[in-house]
Amino acid sequence: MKIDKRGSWYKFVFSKEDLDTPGDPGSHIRYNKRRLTNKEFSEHWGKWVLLGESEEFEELAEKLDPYVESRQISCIKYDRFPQEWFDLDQCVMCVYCDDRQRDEVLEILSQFGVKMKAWSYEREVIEKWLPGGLHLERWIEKAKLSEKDAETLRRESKQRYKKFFDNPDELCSGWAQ
Amino acid sequence: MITARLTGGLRKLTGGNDEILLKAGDVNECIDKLEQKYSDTKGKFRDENRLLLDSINIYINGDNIRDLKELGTALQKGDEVDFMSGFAAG
Repeated sequence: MKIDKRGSWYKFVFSKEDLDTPGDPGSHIRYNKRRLTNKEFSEHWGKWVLLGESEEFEELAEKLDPYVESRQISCIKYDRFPQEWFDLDQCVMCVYCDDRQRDEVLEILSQFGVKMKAWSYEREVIEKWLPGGLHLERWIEKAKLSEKDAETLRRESKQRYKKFFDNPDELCSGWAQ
Repeated sequence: MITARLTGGLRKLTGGNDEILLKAGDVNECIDKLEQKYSDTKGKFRDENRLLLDSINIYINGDNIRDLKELGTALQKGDEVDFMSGFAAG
């Protein structure tokens, strides 16, 4: 089911079942019907990354929705507009799943004409948003933050992921985007 | 032959040509060939020490070369090599 909330940069596709558990934001992080721990998330969770135009992604999201409902795809996130602060001139779509089912998901994407093949682990994304990481430092630079504000942001970023790294055996609950 | 695919803004570097067929034994050679054919790609993927730029991700059949042998990763006939901004997978 497409989720299009005003005020959110992204649009999402989640299964109705996952939307029925708002108190459990990590309910979609599963493999073989079993929830992943933080450690398993770090080892296996990722996404196929696509670049394209907003209209193309609206259509593709419609086509992929049944696969999200049947849980062959875990969930989908895509931009409304290109992220210009990252110098991107196209929107990004992320099609999430466990790496043990990524080939199956790629096959689904290929059926709809997707040619790009770029698999990205979530652990890479976390690294990019930690102090010194590519994304966080670019964000700080583009937002022209003062050194004091930049340090606060770096500290908050570290704090944000601390619970995740400190509790490898807990069920992964993801994080708000 | 392998297929080199440039995505997003990188397509501008090859005049909008987003799929390029070429012969290359590894990723470094693939970039050398692209640079020979499309001069705008020079310096866009590697730094002056011929190391992969942080802001670029390269995937072979979906796998990030940083998880393989980086620019020395061997290429086989039929491989698909995707070039993407490192900022895209955030």
